[in-house]
Amino acid sequence: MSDVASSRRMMAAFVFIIYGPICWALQLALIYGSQSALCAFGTDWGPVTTAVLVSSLATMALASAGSVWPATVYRLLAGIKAPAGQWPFMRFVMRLLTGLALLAMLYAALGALLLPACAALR
Amino acid sequence: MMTEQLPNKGPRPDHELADLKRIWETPRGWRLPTAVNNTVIGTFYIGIAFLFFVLAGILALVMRAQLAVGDNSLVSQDFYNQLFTMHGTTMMFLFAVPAVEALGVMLLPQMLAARDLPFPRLSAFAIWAYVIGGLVFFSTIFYDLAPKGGWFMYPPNTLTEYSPGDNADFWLLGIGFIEISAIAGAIEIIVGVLRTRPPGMTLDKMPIFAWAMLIFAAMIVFAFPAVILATMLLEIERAFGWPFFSSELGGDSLLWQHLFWFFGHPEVYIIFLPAAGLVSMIIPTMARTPLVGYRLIVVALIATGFFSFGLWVHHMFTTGIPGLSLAFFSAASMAVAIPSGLQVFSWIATIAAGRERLRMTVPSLFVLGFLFIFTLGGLTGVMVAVVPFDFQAHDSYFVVAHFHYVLIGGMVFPLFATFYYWAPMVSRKMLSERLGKWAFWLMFIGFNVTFFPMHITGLAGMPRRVWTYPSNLGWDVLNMISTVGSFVIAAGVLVFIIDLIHNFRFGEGGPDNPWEAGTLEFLPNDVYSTRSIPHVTSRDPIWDRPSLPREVEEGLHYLPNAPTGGRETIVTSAVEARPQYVLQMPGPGWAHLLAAIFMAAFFLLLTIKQVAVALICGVLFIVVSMVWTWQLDRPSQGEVDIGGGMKVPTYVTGPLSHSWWAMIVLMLVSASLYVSYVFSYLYLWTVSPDVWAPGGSPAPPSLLFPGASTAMLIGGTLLMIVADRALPKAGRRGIATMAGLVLAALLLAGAVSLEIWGHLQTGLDPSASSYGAMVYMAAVLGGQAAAATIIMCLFAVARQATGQLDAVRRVTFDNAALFYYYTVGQTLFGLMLIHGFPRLIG
Repeated sequence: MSDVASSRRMMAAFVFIIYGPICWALQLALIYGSQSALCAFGTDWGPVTTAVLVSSLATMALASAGSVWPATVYRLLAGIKAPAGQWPFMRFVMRLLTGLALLAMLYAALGALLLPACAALR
Repeated sequence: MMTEQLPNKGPRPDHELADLKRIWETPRGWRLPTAVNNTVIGTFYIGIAFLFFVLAGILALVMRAQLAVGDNSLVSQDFYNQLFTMHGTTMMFLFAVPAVEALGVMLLPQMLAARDLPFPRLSAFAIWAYVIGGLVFFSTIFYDLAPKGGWFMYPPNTLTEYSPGDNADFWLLGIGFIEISAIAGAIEIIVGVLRTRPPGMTLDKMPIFAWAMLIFAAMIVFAFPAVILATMLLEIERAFGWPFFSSELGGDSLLWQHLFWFFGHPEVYIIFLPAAGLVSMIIPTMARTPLVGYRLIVVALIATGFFSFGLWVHHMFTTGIPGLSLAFFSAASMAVAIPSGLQVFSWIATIAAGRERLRMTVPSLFVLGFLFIFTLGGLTGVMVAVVPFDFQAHDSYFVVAHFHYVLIGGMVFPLFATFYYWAPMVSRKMLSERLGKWAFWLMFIGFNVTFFPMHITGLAGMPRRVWTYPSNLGWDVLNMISTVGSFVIAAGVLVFIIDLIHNFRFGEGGPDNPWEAGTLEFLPNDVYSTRSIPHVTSRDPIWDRPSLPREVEEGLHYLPNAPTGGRETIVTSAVEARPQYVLQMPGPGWAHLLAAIFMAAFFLLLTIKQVAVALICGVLFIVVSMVWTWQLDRPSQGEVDIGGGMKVPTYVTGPLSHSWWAMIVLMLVSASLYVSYVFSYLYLWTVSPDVWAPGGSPAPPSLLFPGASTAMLIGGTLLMIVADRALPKAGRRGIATMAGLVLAALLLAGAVSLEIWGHLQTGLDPSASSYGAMVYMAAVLGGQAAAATIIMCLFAVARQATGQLDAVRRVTFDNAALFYYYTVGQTLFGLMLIHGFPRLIG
């Protein structure tokens, strides 16, 4: 294996482990960014809620898919199959982190159904 | 692994041990400051951090004396503001983060059985910069020069108009530069944990403290740049009037809060996670059983580290941000409680699973104290994460109680457990169990007497950060109790200091493995760490292989000698820990020490407006840094035998090398800083979209300017690629590479200069509006990255001119090229933002 491939594999392993939290960070950036931008443009409930829910559904789907097919995610990142010795550990950590991330994403998204888009609470 | 399969055979030749002792000997006398051994500088680091803990604690005692009764005037209002600013700043920046980094420097090489971390001089540089900068910064309290704006330094209170004088500048420049030292330490820790583990220590066998330090360091990489940018913006506004935070010119003081808390909230976990890692190391030893839920704790550490970046707005719930935004961050604040709970349950389960009752030693007591206090702090944390409750409790003493429960419980108690648990690693004598128990009980009782009443004081309406209060509001008794408690804590710390004076004796020869622990730091060790680097097959190697200490000491594992004749350690792959090469490490030296002195002088002299002398120190910093770096890229010594039939190279370059990984981390730091800038630019636009750019502002420069800059950047990149291909064969010199590097550097300088010139031509004034300030700030950041890149390119030219850079020995070139490509990417993105965004929004 070349140096580049070896290093790519090493980095891919860490990115793979934090796949779920990366999806969560993406969701937070999308929902907070889109809400702030749309509110700055003076839009209100409809577009903001739509943007938050669509962003959340997309990122949650991405996270869920990764959790269901972890081997595919690893192969996409590293270009090869995961090291057999480390695979059970890496898969366990990745899946549990994705589960926690999904919970956090769901919780954040629910706000869009309950709260005004741009108004302050007091 | 059976005895006959050990990597090396014994008995080893006598000279090997003597060689190791000579090579790794600590300098003595006046040369002691040049030392770079992790045990020496790590102990020094933790000692200075503890000194700042004591000093900041004394400030707290003065504050508590002032607050003991209502209508008190023991200290003036102005001095009280300096006291609480210095207390918070010192505790957070000069004690907590450095103490944790110090533990990383001191403990990690031992836990990983590495001879040292991969960049020992970088560690030493970070420590000296912190020591010099920290002492000068703290001394401002004695000259009425200390900052007064709180450890959070919110504008507009800290703008020149409301905070004239140099006080605020000491915070902005002093702390900004100490953060650079923290980042240097973080780079060292990340590369160290990933690449200097012993053979066989795969990811699932890493000590939990190593996981915690890896996440800690990664969090520093992403969190600290935000506050570095914030301090740059505020200092530039104070010095030159660029209005980033002045609302009348399109700025917004809330931008500071966003940037500060994007750092400030993760900071809490930056402090807590390593402490949790220490607890995960101590509990199994005291319970005599492996950690229950190792994998869950790894999940919890990573999840906590990640989610902590989504909490920053929960410090801003009462600033008028839309309710939906608050919900996003309230959700993350709740989510972070789950992984924290996972760890607490794992620790309780480990204690319950012990073969015998938990040994009630001093480390155990401090760990149990931590569990009690931190859990209470976590519960009030969930309370303030609930937006309506936070509306009531915000800026009250309830919050003071909450965060002291989290920070002292979550960090200080584990730190004291650490002092007692790991002292035998660097001291010839153990600390006293009797004095330790006195220290614990005084601190534990004192802590709860001090801070528990503050919950009630806060709910009774007492605001935080007040100098005094009317004595007819019913807060006097509670405050008096808190004050008495604070002096009880101080008595506990004093007992600990007495214990240190009586029993701590720095040096080797302490008892081997006094707690009968299972991890590698309790192998027999000396200045060179362990005699040979063990092959690891489990998470608790000493428990699972009782003969390991003897085998390691007899040199039967890897690298029992010094085949290159200098300081070295084994570099392994990041996931499976397979040996890849032997890293040749630098030893003691003056250059990194002088670099720290000149860098500190540069920043501190700027604070007192001695610009000319500061610039001279800045130039000297660059010069001695070059001298330091010049000594690093050592030529290959060929392949060496490390044992186990393995022959590995002594020089690698490109993605396999540790320096390449350090550059990647440095690029992540730079990218984080730039992303913070992009956030700031877009944030100010969302605040004032109707004045972006304000009426009367000149139109953006013609697209020819960014077009020409882009062409130069692409041209420079192509030249770097050509220079790479033209690198001469080993031992030869090539004009083409040198010419390519110089031309690429010139093109980069030209691209940034053209961008600035284009805006100057339009007459855009950076002090007239926040829009103008943000436009020029992009150029400032681009110029900063370009300057670093140009220096690296010219350094590579000098290396080649002296025959020390060729197609084989090429680390210097690879690092310069890597950063060049990054700078080009950042500058191109900046051009698109500055020239494209205003046109896009019309």
